[in-house]
Amino acid sequence: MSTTEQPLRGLLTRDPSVVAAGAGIFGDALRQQAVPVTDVEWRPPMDGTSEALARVLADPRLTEANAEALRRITAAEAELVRIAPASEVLGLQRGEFLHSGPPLTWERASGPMRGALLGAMLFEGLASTAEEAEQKLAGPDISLAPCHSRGAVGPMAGVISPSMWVFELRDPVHGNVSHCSLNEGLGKVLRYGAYSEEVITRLEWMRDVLGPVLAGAVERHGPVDIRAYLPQMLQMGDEGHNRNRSATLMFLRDLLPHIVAQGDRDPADIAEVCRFVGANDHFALNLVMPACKLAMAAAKDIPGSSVVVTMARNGTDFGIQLAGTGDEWFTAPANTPEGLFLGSYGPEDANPDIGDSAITETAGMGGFVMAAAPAIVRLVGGNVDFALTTTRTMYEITLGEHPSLQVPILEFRGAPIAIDATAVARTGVLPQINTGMAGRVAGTGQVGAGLVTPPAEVFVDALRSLADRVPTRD
Amino acid sequence: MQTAEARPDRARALPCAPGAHLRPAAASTLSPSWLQAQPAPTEVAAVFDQAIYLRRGQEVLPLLAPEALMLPGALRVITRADLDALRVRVGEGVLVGGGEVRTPRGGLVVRRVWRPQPVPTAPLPESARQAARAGLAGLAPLEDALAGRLAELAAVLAAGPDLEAARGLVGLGPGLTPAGDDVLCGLLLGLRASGRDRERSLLEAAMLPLLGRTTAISATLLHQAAQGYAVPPVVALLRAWHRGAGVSALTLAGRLVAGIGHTSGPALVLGLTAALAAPQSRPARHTSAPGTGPVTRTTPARTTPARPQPEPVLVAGATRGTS
Repeated sequence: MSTTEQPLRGLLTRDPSVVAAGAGIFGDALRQQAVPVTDVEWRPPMDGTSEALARVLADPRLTEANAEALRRITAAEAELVRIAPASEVLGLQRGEFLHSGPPLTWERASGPMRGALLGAMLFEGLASTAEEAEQKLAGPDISLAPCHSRGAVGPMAGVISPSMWVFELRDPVHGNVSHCSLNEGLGKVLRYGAYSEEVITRLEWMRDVLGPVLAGAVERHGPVDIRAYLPQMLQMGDEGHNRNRSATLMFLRDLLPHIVAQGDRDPADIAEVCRFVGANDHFALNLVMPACKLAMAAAKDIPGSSVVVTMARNGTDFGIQLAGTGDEWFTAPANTPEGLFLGSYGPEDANPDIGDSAITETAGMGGFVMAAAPAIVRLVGGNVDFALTTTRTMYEITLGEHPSLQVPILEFRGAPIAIDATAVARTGVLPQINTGMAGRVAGTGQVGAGLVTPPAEVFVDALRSLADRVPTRD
Repeated sequence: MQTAEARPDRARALPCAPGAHLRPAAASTLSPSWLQAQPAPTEVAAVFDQAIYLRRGQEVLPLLAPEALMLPGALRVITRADLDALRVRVGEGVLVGGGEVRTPRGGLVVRRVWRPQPVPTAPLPESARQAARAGLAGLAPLEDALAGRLAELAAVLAAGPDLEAARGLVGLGPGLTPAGDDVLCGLLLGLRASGRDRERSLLEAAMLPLLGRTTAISATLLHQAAQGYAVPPVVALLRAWHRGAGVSALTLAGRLVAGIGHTSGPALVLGLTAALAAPQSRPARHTSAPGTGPVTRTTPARTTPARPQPEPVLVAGATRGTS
């Protein structure tokens, strides 16, 4: 029986079904009058996005562009093909440094970023003291560029100097290449802004022993399928940003025969390499990150797409890039993470958010799959319920579910993948990042780990820029 | 008189726990008058997942969750949790009055009144009557042992008010709403919606004195049916009769009626079908066939529907017969 045959579609002869959107006060008022109400969460789009949203959502290219982005992201592969000095594979010249996050000048650099650059100057022999390094960094002879500008990524300060050895990962599907430094471990390390002698000595050992030994092993092994580690990590309780134990051990397992088979090496060096990699639960972070970068690089430069392909922080600014806006950065002051602190450190010691490691969240790992790694809350704070809720919430701002990255506790639901900037603006839900915390004073090192979100403004600016690129009719 | 003092005493005997939460509820315009009168104990007659029936005398007040079939006189709450919170048992007394239902655990308070929609009261054109019949044809027939008897009695009553046939139907069958009563409801509603108001009022007069024979909830529903009120699927069907809906639409609406309860739906359909059976102008001929008991018909009234002689006699007789 069609209701259209009745006056006002039967509105006056049947009970209305009430759905209340947004503010609870309306639904509550009706409930007080004994009216059953179905509540639907709704809030206005982020301030300043209405106009841009209207234009972007009306862009006829949007749906297909985003579908294409999702296809590419989930199709991307990642193989470790070689390990070599950055000067060779990235073409870095003496005096050139890469850093994490959006573009940055020495003047605006935060404590840990300055500390890492000072350390890199000392490591490269460009200065013999921190003071000398500081003077030179403030001068015209040193050039800084974001890792992302070269397709690379770096955790925390993310400083890559020419003599540092880097992983080279390749996506055979789309032909992209990505690089990342080798992980130094935890505590007083360069990427957290420490630059003491201990830090420099370790970097030298990594340059002279670790890099060459691992490079030899990869050469013997052939391309290592890093992409295959990611789904397994989620099955093993790691989320790939602050828990990388399983991938570290899988990597070591794959390379071990080829590490020890290098008979021309000093057995003590071989043993130290094995110990160093095996004892550093974060070692594989520097493999997961470029693997994630390759997934997102596949979606770069799709006109009309609102997919976030980069989220990165330099300790001062948080920056994002969209698939539909090329290399343009949208930046705003970075938030400071909240979480748990090491030793006697406290919130006042923490530097604002820093590092390219948010590429993991951009690619559906890290905070987005916290539900798969409930133990992470002992490192970054929160509770297990928060971890579950976070992953569930991220589905609200992503385009799809990853076919192979699956979350066991959610009945193997695919990870939330491909952040849609329009969904962020419409829901006000910000991507959840879990991260390490660097000390705000140069030279401190790590002070804790915690949870952080991007500043909302970056999505507002990104959407406006995307809206400006929507072709006008006629 | 002591009643004025006595009632608050009773109210104190069944207090709400201090600070107990009174949850909002919506009363029907057909809810029993004692819902708004001085508070007095009322018996819990039945407790189901989605409904609680409160009874005082022969009047029942259903408390209904939103999922329940919307009985015309019900007090409706927002969620099942509101009923669960009362935690009542069958046979227990609760305090009802002043627009509240109170138990020692909690209670409900009337915050609004809802108005059940009556079925249409108007003559049904012959084409619409035939479409309505076709729409009901073959819908889930009653399949228990009573089916034949019910059909017979319904046919007799459709032809004219018959005290014996009514006596045969009221309270016939098991359960809270015996199938015989559902047939009568269908008949009363069907007669009203096909414009056969004279037959309907005669049947009502014959039936009302017999209501002590059935359950209180069924008696309440029969009263409401006599006034033209029914559950929403029935109202929707009868409105469709008058809207000139096609047979397929009528069948669809009929299925929703036939699907009510266990036997209630098919029994309602049986009563509605009987109401549509006889041509409005000549109720006499074919209905004598079943031959169950004396068929008291009003043949003289045929040409002038206005106040035929025998009716008051019949009504008076019926009343006397049961009291």
